[in-house]
Amino acid sequence: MHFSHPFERKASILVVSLIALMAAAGPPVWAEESVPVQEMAQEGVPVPAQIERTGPEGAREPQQHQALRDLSLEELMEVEVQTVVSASRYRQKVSEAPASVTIIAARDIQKFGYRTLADILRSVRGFSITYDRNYQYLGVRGFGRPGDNNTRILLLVDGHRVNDAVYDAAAIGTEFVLDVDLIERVEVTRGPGSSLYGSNAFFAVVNIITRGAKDIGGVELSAEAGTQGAYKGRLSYGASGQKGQEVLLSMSGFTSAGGRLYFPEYDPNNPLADARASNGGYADNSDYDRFRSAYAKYEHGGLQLAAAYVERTKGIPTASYGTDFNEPGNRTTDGRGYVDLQYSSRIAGGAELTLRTYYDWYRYDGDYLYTGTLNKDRAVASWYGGDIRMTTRLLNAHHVIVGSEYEVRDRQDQYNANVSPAFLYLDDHRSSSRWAVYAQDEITVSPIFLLYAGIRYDRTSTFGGTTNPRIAAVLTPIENGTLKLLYGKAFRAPTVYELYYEAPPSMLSNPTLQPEQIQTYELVYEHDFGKGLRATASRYSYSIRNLITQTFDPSSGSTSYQNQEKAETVGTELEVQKTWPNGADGRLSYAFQKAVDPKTGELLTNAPKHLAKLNLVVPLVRDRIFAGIEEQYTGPRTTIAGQSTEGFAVTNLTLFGRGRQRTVQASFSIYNVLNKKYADPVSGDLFPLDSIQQDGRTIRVKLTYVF
Amino acid sequence: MYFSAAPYRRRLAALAALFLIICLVQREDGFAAERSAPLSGEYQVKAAFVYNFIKFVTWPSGEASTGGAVRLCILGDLPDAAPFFDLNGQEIMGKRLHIVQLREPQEARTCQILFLSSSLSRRLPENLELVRGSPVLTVGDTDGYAQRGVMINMYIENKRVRFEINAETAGQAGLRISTKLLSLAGTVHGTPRTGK
Repeated sequence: MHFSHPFERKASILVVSLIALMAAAGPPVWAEESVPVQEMAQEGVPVPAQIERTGPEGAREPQQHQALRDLSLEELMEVEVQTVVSASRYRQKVSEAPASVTIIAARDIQKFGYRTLADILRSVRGFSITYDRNYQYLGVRGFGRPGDNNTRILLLVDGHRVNDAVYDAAAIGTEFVLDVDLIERVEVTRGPGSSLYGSNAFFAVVNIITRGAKDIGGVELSAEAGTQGAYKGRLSYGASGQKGQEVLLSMSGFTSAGGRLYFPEYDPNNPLADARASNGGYADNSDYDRFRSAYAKYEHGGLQLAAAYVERTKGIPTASYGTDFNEPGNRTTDGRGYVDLQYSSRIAGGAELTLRTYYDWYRYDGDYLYTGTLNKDRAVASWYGGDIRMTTRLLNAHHVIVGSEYEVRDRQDQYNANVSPAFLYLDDHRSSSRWAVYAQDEITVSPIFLLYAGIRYDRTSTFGGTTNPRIAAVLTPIENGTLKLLYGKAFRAPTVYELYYEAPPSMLSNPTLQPEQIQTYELVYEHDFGKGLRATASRYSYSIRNLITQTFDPSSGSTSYQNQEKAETVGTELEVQKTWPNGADGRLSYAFQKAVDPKTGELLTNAPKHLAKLNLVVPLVRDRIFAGIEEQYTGPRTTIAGQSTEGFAVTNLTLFGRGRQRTVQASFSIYNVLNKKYADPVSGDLFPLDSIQQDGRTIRVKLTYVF
Repeated sequence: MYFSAAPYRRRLAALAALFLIICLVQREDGFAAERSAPLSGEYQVKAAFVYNFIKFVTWPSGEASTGGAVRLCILGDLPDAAPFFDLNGQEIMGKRLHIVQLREPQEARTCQILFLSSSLSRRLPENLELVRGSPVLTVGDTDGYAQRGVMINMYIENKRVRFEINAETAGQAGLRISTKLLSLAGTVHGTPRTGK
């Protein structure tokens, strides 16, 4: 840490004094009550859908409690409880889940000032984010190919798959379909999930649970402003009817002008500059980012109807794909939307049946300028499907899930053309379908031994079938300790983009691509020390084959996707969590991960060996004002040109306050408080850029008011 | 991409001031409109249910009369036990309610009501064995508990708390569950011995 600027000194004094305050607030008065148990519900699966994390925030009001006690049973049966997803689902403690799970709640989003899903995921143990100023990319446990579109992560919103049908991309930046303010909880399940979820559940499943209408309870208006000309507004409405119907409507808009960015590679004064160098290496007005989104949800009984929409336009300041530098006309627009109808009900014998049907669309428009000639790159997809799932308990010892899915991807089109003079490079129309069946049994072998056995068969019209099993043993040898032994396989089907995108002579299609596969072993130990202190240690080994990789063929001078590489990852993760009765809450993690190419033994690109994270919430005024402090260290990473980016630590700080009636909330955030300069490795599409400098210190202020 | 911090200092100060003003204004709750009634916490409602159950269960004569007190014991960790402890000392059916967090499962026989948390799902058979034949009303809130012998098991359906009754094990323990409670239950396992 060097203090070159008085601001940095002030900021560090602020951090130090906050830490001191925290220490002062520290000595906890231990209550005689039991420690809250982290609980999750499975969506018939290891993705948690319900967690109770009670802390001092559990909005408990004795008067209301008194009133509840005086109600008759009939009246009590009409009282709605604070659960987000209809809770007849199979619940389970996080410690009993056959996976390593992390949960980020709405209160963390508020108190750490998270702006995007990428911000949220960056705080998760073993996860890292890279940003190429167009999209955000998630690296999991050391594996994050630059520019891989997040195809190896399955992203769900209330169980609805939101990876698109052309790139299979999980959108986690400003193009994510949901405003982060509408998130109740993010549930991250590490490890392969294909035995329940099929394709893309390769490294992790990220399930977003949306807030309930009752939680908003009226009109909620939120406005934020930040550096780089960033403004965001949101208007949400939540109401419930007399018969228990609930409606939630929300609209958001965001715009950011972006900063003036300097790229030495495009500075004409640099002797090694690119031929496109101009404007002193500055990209002006090119880093803009805008989105508008809307979300609607209706719930009644076991029925839930949801619709979501987002359209995001991002300027490309990096002259990617050989486009003109300092040209604000280079941009991508991603639009997506869905309608999802699900119904769940208890049927005979205590079993629970869930039915879902949905329709999704996705559209991508890329404008790229080549010496003034506009090239349009476009993809349009739509798909629909349905699934059925049943969970039931058999003979005491078995908890069984069976399900089936069917999806038709009726439109998976890609298009590329120059506008004037008109020239068509690609006009590819595809459609496909897929179906799957799966089953999982959770067997209580003995009081200290839970066994999970699951298997799923997927069949896709493009490449055929694949079977993926999972076996997990969850042992509780001692009262507060849980040992998990996990084995699983997963696959990722090649995307339409990887199979058919073609722009000869530079890029060729490869319709013979096969799915890539991963096999994983993991050992997890979780210990509850009591008094709010929990620790987790994990050791894993991943082996990937048939990895789909963009490959350059020197003989033809073209690139195409090939099932070529292998990769192996081994890693160790440690995490300690602590909650204090005064409302303070902390999480500290360290991940050592080594992702290598077994042929060469070399580290994969963009694979940090070390990641360390600290998240701390400290109440400054009990229940009213909180400080959220975040410290994230990322070790050095190799770029695709074989360079190494420096390791760096970023500090973020948020002050969050709210009124006693909780009608007003305000937050003030400083991101990258110490103005640390660091760069993220990027894909070859950005050549000659090899790594991209990230934002320095930025600020955001946010106000939310409930009428 | 290299921002100089200086131009932001004034803005930063202004924003910080705005933030403080908002917090101060709020301190007086100056412009706080009445928000619609907050939702009830799950365990607040569950605790109210358990409190109500007591009115509809008859213990064998002489058994529950432990000095005019009813012991409601909690075994295992609850996600939120506080609403139960808020019931401590309340009077119900002329008896004082005592809420006890059990440290040793062996103490379960001393209770009139035993709440078995989902955290001991895997040790449920042993724990039920401890109170078998004793007039202890077992209560839970875990999927499958009623089938496994817990007398009243709460679950959530459409965001509302429901319960199922295992009349068989209640009968074996000599407890009488009123027909009213049986009629409100979502499912009744086994044949009830009714009466009140």
